[in-house]
Amino acid sequence: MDTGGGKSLRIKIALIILSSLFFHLEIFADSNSESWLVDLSTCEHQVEFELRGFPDVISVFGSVKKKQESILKGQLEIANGSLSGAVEIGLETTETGIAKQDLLMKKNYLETDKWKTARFTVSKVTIPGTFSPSQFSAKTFTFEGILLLHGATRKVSGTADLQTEDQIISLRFLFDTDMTDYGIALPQYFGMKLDGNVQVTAGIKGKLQRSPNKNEPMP
Amino acid sequence: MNPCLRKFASLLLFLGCFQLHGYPEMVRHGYLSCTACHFNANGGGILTPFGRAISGDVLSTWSSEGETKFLYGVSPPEWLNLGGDLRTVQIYQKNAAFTKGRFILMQADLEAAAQLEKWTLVASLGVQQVPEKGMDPFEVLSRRFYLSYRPAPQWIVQAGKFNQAFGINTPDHVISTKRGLGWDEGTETLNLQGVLLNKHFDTFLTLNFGRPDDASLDLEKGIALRGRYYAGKRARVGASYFFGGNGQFSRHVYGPFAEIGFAKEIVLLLEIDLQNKHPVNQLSQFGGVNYAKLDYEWLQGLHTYVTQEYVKLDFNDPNSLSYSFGIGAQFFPRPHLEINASWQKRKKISVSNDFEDFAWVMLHFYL
Repeated sequence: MDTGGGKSLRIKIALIILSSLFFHLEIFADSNSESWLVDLSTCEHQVEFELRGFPDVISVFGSVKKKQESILKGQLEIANGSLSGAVEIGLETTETGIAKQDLLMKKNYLETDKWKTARFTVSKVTIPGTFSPSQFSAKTFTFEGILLLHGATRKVSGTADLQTEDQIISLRFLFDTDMTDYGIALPQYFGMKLDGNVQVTAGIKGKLQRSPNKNEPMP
Repeated sequence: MNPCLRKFASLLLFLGCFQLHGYPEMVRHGYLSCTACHFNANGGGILTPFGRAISGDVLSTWSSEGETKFLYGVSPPEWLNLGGDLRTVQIYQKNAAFTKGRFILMQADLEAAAQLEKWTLVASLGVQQVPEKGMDPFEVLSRRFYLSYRPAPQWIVQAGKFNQAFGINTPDHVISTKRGLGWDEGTETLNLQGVLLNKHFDTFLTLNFGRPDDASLDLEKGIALRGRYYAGKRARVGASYFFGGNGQFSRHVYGPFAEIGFAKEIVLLLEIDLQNKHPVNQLSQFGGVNYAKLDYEWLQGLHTYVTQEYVKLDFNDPNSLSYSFGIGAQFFPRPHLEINASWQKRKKISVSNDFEDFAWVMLHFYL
């Protein structure tokens, strides 16, 4: 025989299940069905490179230094477990810490007077796991992209690390590419020749912003 | 020394002849293999054109176009490279028993490297002062001569007179890991050396034949093996092993070392070696040495550093202990010039339980 107390208990249980389902749906909506943007011009960034000479091994390494204004332009979007977007990097502040080397690098090789920027377009990144802007971490997952450098465009691929905490995102790309593919001459200086292979590490840290919902009715 | 030789020595001094030593501290700039800057696979000695160029770009505080060239502007034919060193030192030593100062001409050498395709011939000729020789303290010598063959970019075979590759190759030959182990200046031997170079490591195997041309020196013969791994952009870590001996003893010497550039301004050199020594008709000794140097470059070419040294060649004998702590400053104002000054507090238990002061100022002019 059913009692009023039993009915009330069943209602309570149903409410708990429903609310918990709703909570999970909220989480799901928060992470996967919504898209998030990173405005790169407001991000902290670190763009580093390294190339080596062989058989006389020297390691030439440096970074693209931050100016008063950001050297990065563009935005990245995370939606449906994928990352997309494009980054434009100013090259005129590329430095190795050795003044003469910097001068030659920019004048003779990167030719920054003609090609002031490089552009990296993320073409394919599937973020492993369920992305959440509040707390998420994924290490060394693969990505593919297109790099425009020295007026030439080439496909690049490598690995990426992604972390979020309280809507702050840290993203790091690591890839190799060959300078000669972009029509850049092999650097040499007084008989020392460098390898064409460059290892690039590019990292950003910035605030995630909820992307405007395209399906939302206009007010 | 006869009058002709004395004139020759004076001429070399006048010319400022020299022989540039390796600076392992350059690892902080990413210069990982010695062959980038030196013809000698193990570093030191005559510079390659690249080494000469970066002596202005990276090593010195100020420089101008062309200043790094031999004799400030001489351009020999492409197959020939010329160099040399003049190095003098003023030493000051003070302890409970005595205070003394001494000026020494350490080196006045000319060195040349001639290249023909895969072959390179290197030879130096110079004078040095040996104060122990009293009234006639100068002697003419060739510190280094060798023929090297590079059949492929990653292989070098080198035969001649030079220092075997062991540990960190620093020009400071009085330190614990050099003098402390008996590898002071003047211990270059006749060697056959094979070198394998890779983008991430190098390996040196040296067959040391001692000095058969001068039996009075009784220098060791043996075999040395050293491997270095290029750990990242500006660091090398490695290990060395030597087995050899002379008429007095045989020994195994082995240990790790590290040359770590933490940033382009900061570099640490660290070497620890153990020695198993077996003197003829005496008990064996087991001991060790270590050397550490931490260098900071305040502005390009101006350095200060601290050093620490330890020697105890017989762990069972308290009297074999000596150790020191030091500070120093090194300045490369312009290409061709180096000033290095060091002050140490050091203690040698077999001599005294008190510390003594040991200081030196070294002037180095490299052509």
